[in-house]
Amino acid sequence: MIRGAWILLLLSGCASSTGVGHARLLAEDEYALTFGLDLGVSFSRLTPGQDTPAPWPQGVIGARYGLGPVELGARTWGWGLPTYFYTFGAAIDGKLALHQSPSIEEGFDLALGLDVGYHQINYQQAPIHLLVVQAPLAFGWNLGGGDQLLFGVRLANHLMGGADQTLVNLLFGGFSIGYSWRALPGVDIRPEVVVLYSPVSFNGYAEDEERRGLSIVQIGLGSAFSL
Amino acid sequence: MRWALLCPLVLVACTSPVEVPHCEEPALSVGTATVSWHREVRPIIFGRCSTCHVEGGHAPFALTGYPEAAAYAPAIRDAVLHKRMPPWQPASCCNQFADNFGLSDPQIELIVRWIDQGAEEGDRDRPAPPLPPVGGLSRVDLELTMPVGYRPQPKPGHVDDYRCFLLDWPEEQPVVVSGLNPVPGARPIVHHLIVTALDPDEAEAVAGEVAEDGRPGLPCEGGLGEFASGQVLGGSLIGGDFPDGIGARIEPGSKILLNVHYSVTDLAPPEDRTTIQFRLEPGDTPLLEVKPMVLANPAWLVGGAMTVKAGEVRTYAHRVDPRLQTLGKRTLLRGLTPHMHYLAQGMIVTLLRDDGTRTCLLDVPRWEFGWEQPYWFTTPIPLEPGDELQVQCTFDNTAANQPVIGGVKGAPRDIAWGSENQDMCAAFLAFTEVEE
Repeated sequence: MIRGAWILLLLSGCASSTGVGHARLLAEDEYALTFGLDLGVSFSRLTPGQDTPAPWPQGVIGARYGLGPVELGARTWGWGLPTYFYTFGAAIDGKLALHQSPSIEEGFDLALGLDVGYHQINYQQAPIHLLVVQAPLAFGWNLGGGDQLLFGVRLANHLMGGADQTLVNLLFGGFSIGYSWRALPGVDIRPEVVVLYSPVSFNGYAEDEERRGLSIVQIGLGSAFSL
Repeated sequence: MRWALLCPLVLVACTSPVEVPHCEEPALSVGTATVSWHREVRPIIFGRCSTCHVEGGHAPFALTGYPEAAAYAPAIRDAVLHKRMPPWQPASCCNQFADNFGLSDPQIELIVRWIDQGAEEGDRDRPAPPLPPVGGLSRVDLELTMPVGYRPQPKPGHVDDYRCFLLDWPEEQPVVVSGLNPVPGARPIVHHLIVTALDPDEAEAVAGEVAEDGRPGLPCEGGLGEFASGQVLGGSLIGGDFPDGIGARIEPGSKILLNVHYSVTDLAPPEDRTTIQFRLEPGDTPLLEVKPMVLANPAWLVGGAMTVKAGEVRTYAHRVDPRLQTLGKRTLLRGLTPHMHYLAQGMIVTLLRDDGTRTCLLDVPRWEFGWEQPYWFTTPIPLEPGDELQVQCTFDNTAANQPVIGGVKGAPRDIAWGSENQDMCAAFLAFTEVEE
């Protein structure tokens, strides 16, 4: 029954990891609005050697602004049923160009991001707070026509707390694969998969490798509208 | 409490646990009138102790005659005075429960006075009161026994071994289970067990499962695993008839899943072969639709979110609005089962009314690991939309409160939520909807 409560908690969702965009930064003074839908699935080792899955959907909206060698972004997300359970969060991020191809029609782009956010899971009106910090390193291979194939690796840290809880630090490592398709001038469609793994224990301080591990898979379908 | 300050900042509704003290039992006063076994003490012992302290019961010796009672008098005095026996955990100053076999303070006072006065036998010709049924079950209609014996093997340095056993359900017509009584084969090592009925489809899905370690049964540490959808019939060693209207309908072709939690503090545990006794009713017997609700913070399951450091006494509480389970309907709370492990000291479960008043649902001032059982309220307690529930657990992780493993008392070490020498804080509530 406790496992059921945990699954319900995870159905409330996790912080959005998608939507930080291209490896190629927006041009200086260029704006973009982003809209997306995530489908997340978490797998937790509540039972020895078995991953317990819990899925959730999530809507994400955001905005991005180019500042030359840096791009700034902000986004917010959430879903749920008021009174029963709901989840929401917001993050701001900065992206620094490490390498930019002279043209989006060829070569590759490399960018390092830093993303800081707050996420709340409000389950039975007993909220759980997460301070989320992510550092994605994105590699984009320009395929012509404004399309980009995206690979990324990232570190993420979720600091979790709430009333009568000891603070828990969840360190995640992961990767992402995405594709940015220039559907129309100024309109990109971006399917993306982000996979994160934390070696957190689900058996307290017991030495129990079979009950260690929380994986999060987020499949996002995003869109960006340049202004 | 600091986290509650975040709620208005982020414009959301949220609750914060409140500190609830244990209720206060009145002080014991010992009178002077003469007490005898046959007149005052025997009715108390028969009524409260003889479900187990009887030939064939859970207890290691019977207490049905004067010679035994007189021989054990010093131990009885110590056990009842310090409330180590009977194994009834709730404080009577909090709430009243059905089938209460705990001793009231006046009853303790009488027993102590009897022993202090020399444990007089009194009038032998006084008629004896009836003995309760062994194991608390008024009728045994069916007995199912583990097909083979099992000798638990905890990991080195650990005390717990969770094992599941599948038993064939032999009834050829639908029946209702209206009571059960576990009879452990090796009582000292069987901490508790969960009896679950798997319907024929579930039973077929698990038929033929064999443990990879080649030993009897299946490992089921960490819960029921793939069997989680079964219908739970009971979760403690204390047997008995279920309250009126409470029961489970079982179809032919079902299986009984026995999830046994072995707690082994001895290096050479005996082999166990547990039997479950059932009381049965016809399949069309009307039943209340009892729903479960777990009161625990799921976030505690993650890493060290419920840490109790070595040497520390620490209280954790979790307060919730239960509308996710009740769907905002008026309901009746029927009972609850507290669940903690070795280092737990006490638990308080409180109903926090929408009007600001509190109702004590359960107060366990001295938790005893081996005494877990369900407690059914004498009178169901209404739960209205807007009411909240809180569970509060205190853990004692000091050197004085460590379990003994292999004859050696362990040293304190940091613990958090989990099995395998960790701890838990959960109350499993049972409720029914109110017909509008």
